[in-house]
Amino acid sequence: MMPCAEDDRSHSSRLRDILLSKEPYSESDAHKCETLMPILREQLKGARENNPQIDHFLTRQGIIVDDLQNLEEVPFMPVQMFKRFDLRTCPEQAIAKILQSSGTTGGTPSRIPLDKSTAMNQIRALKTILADYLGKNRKIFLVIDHEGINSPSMAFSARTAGVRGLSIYAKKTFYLLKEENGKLVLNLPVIRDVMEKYSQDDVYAFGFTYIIWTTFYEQVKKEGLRFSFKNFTLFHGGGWKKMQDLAVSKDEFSASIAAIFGAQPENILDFYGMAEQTGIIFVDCKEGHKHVPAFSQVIIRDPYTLQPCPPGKPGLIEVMSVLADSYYDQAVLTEDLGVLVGVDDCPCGRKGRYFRFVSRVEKAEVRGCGDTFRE
Amino acid sequence: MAPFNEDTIKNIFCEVLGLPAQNVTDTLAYNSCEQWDSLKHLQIVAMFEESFGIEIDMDDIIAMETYGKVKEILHKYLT
Amino acid sequence: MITCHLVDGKFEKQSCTDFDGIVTSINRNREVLTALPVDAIIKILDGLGKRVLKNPEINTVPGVSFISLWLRRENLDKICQINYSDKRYIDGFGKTGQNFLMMAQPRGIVCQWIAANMPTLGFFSVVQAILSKNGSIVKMPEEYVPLISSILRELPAISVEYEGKTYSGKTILDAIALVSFEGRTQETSEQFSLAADCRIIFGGSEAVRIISRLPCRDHCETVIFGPKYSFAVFDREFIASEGFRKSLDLVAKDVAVFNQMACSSPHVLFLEKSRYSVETIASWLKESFEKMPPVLRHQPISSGMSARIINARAEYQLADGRNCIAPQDLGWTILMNQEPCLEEPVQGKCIFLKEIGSADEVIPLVNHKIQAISIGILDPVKRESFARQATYRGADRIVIPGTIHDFTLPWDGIMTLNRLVRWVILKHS
Repeated sequence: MMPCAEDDRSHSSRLRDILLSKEPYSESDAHKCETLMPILREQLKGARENNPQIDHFLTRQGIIVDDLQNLEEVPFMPVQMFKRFDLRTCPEQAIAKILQSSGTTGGTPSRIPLDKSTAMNQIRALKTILADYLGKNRKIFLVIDHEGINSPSMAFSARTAGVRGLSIYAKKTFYLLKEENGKLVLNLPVIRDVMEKYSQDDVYAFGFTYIIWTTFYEQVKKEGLRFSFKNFTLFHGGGWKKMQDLAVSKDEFSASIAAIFGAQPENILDFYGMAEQTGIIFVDCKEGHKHVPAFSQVIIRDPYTLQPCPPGKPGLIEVMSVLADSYYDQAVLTEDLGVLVGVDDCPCGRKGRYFRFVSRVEKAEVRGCGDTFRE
Repeated sequence: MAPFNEDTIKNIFCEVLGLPAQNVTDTLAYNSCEQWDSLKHLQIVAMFEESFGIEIDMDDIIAMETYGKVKEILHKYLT
Repeated sequence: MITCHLVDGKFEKQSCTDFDGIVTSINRNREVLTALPVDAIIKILDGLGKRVLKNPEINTVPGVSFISLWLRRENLDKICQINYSDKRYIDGFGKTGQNFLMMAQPRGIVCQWIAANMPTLGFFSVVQAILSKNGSIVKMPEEYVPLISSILRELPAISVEYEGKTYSGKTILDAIALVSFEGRTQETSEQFSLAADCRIIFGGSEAVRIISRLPCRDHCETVIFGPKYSFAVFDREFIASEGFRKSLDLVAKDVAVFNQMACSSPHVLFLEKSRYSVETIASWLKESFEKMPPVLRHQPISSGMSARIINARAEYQLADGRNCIAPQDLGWTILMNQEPCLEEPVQGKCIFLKEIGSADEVIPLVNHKIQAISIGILDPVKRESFARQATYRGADRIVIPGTIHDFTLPWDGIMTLNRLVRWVILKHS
C-alpha cells in the first residue's frame, strides 16, 4: 500500500530534522544517497504538483520520481533559470517572501521564493556549518562592508545574503566600512572602537573577497592599521573573477589579510556558495579544501558528457540540497568550474566530499563568422 | 589511357579500404561502409586517375556512391 | 610585435617590428608569379590537392578532403571562368568586341585577416589571391599556422609542364607570407592595413567594424566577409516526398560541420505544416544526429558554449508551448517552438524546429545578415519565386540540404577573384 503524500512529507521533514541536528561533517559520502534521496524524491513530487512548468521540466526529461535511485539522476536546474522562471515548488499561499538576488555582477535578479520552514532550515544549516568552524559560542561579528547593504530598501544581493546568513552567529555586529559619496571607505570610529574594546574577544568576520582586497586592505595599509584579537576567523567569498583579473592568488590573499588581523593564514577561510542556495556554504578547511555538509551534495559534471567527473577532473559544479520545500533547490547546476579533490579522507578529519573552485565559465560570445540574425 | 580492367578497380578498392575482395560487391556503398569516408573516396579517385591515365569529372566523383556505380562510371571513361 | 611564420618561401618563425621586409619580399616575388600562365598555376594547385591526400600529417584533418576536391583543375577552371568570364584575361590583353583590349591586373599585396572559427579558411583565402596572381600577407590565429603551413610546404616539390616550359610551386609559395600579431595593438594593425593594396577581412561584427575603420591607402580595395546567419526551410510537398528522410541526414550534417560556428551553419529549420507533426520530424532528425560519424557527433566545445546549450535546453523543457529533444551529452539538441521567427544562435548543434503555414512566411525574416537558406521546395516556379524574394531582401545563397557549406563563388554575394583584380584596357591604335 502506498502511504499518502501528507505522511511522506512529514516523514521526509523528520529525516531532514535529524540531518540538521547532526554534526555536518561526520557522515561518510557513501551514506549520502540513502539519507538524501527519500527527502529529494518527496520534494520533487511536491514540485511537480505545485508547479506545472517544473512538471514539464521533469516530464520532458522522462523523469519518474519514484524511479530515481541515485543523486546523480536528480535533474539539475541551470542557475540561470532562476532569472527566467518562477521555480516555486509549494502552493502560492505558503510563500512568505521572495528574495531577489542580483548576484555580484548585476543584471536580471534571480527570484527565490521562500516559505517559513525553508527559511528556518537555511538558518539552521548555516548555524551547524559555522559551529563546526567556530565552536559553540557566539562571537563578535565584523562585516567588511557598509551597513546599507542590509537595509530593506536595497535589493537583496549576494552580499546581503552573506551578511544575513553569517550574522546568526553574532553576539554583536560591526560594519567596518561606510559609504561616502557612493564610494566605500573605512569607518574609522567603528574600527577604533572595535580595536579598543574587543582585543581579548573571539571575533569572526565576513566580506566579499574583491571588496576586502581592493577597498579594505588597500585603505588599512595606507592608514597603517593593525588589528589584534584573541581569536580571529575571516570568511570570505565571491568575486573570484575579478580577483583572477587582478592576478591575486588565494595564498597571497590569505597571507596579506592574516597579517593585518594578527591571525594565522589558515584562519582566513574562502567559501563557495550561491544566493540561490542560501543556507549552504562550502568553507575551506585548513588544507584549503571546500567541504560538503551532510544535508548537501556536490557533483562535478563533465562540460560535454555531463557525466559525474572522478576526483582530479575539472567540470561544472552542481550543488544539491534538501533544505528547500519552497523552490527547486534540490539540484542546481552552476556556471562555475570546480574539481573534486577527494572523498572522506581529508587530513582535516571532515567526512564527505571535498573540492576546489577553479574558475567561472568563460562567458564567450557566439564565436566565428556565424552570428546573430539581427542587422 | 589504359583499358577497362575490373581487377585493377577492385584491387584499388581493397587496398585503400583495407577490405577483402569478397566484401567488395556492387552494393558496397559509401553511406553504409564505415571504412569508405570522404578522404578514402578521393584517394581511390586519385589512384584510378593514375592507373588509367584519366581525369574524372567532379560530378562523376560525387556520383560514385556504390562500387557498382564506380565501375559503370569508369566504363564510360575507358571505352 | 609581429611573428612571421613564412616569408620568401622559408618556414622560419621570426619576430619583427614592422612589415617593411615582408612587403619588399612579397613585391619582388609577386612579379615572378604574375609571369606564370594561369593554367600553370591551376596545374600546380591541382597537384597540391592530390599531394595533401597522401600526406598522413594533413589528410586526417577534417575539411582536407574538401580542399583536395576544391583544388581539382575542373573546379579552379570554373572559378576563373565565373570570375573573369575568360581566364585568358588574367594572362594578358584579350579581345572584348569593343574598340579596346582588356586585361585583369592583380591589385598587388592582399592583406588577409583570418577569423578564429574555421581552420581551413585561411587556405581558401590564399588560393583566391593566387588565382588572381596577387601577393598575400595572411594574419591568422597562431593555432592554425601549423595546418596551413603543412599544406603550403608541399608546394616547392610540385613542378608542372605547360606549353613546353616547367613551372615550380615554389613561385607560388614565395608570394605568400604568414604572420600573427595581437589584433588589439593599434599600431601594428594600422601598419598591416597600410601595407595593403587590397584587404580581405573575415570575422565577427566587432572585428569587421574595427578592421574596416583602420587607415588604408586611397587605392586600397576592401573585401569583407562579415558575420552571417543561415537557416533552412522545407515546404509541404518536399516533406511528403520520397527523399525527405534522407534530406534530414543532410540537414544534420549541415548543422554538424564546423559545430555550427560558420556563417553558413543553419540554426533554424522551418517546416510547412504537413502530414507529419513537428515531433515526428524531430524524432527522425534525432536518428540522423545519432548515426553521424563520431568526429561529427562529438566535437569539443568551450565551457561557455556548454553553458549556453544547457540553458537553452532547460528553458525549452520548462516553458509552455516549447519542447526539447536531446541526448544525455551536449552533442546535439533539437528545440521546438511555434514562434515564426529566427532564433539567436546557440551553436554546438542546436537546431530550432518550427512549423509554419507557408514557406513564404519566412521571407519577411530575411535581411542582409542572412547568408544561406537551404530550401526543400520541389516546384520550380515556387523555388524561383522564393529565391528571388529572399535574395532581394538580403540572402546571398539559396542552396539544397547537404551543400550549405560548399565553398563556391560567388560567396556572400561577392565574386572574390574579380574584386582582387583591376580591369585595365588598351585602346586599338
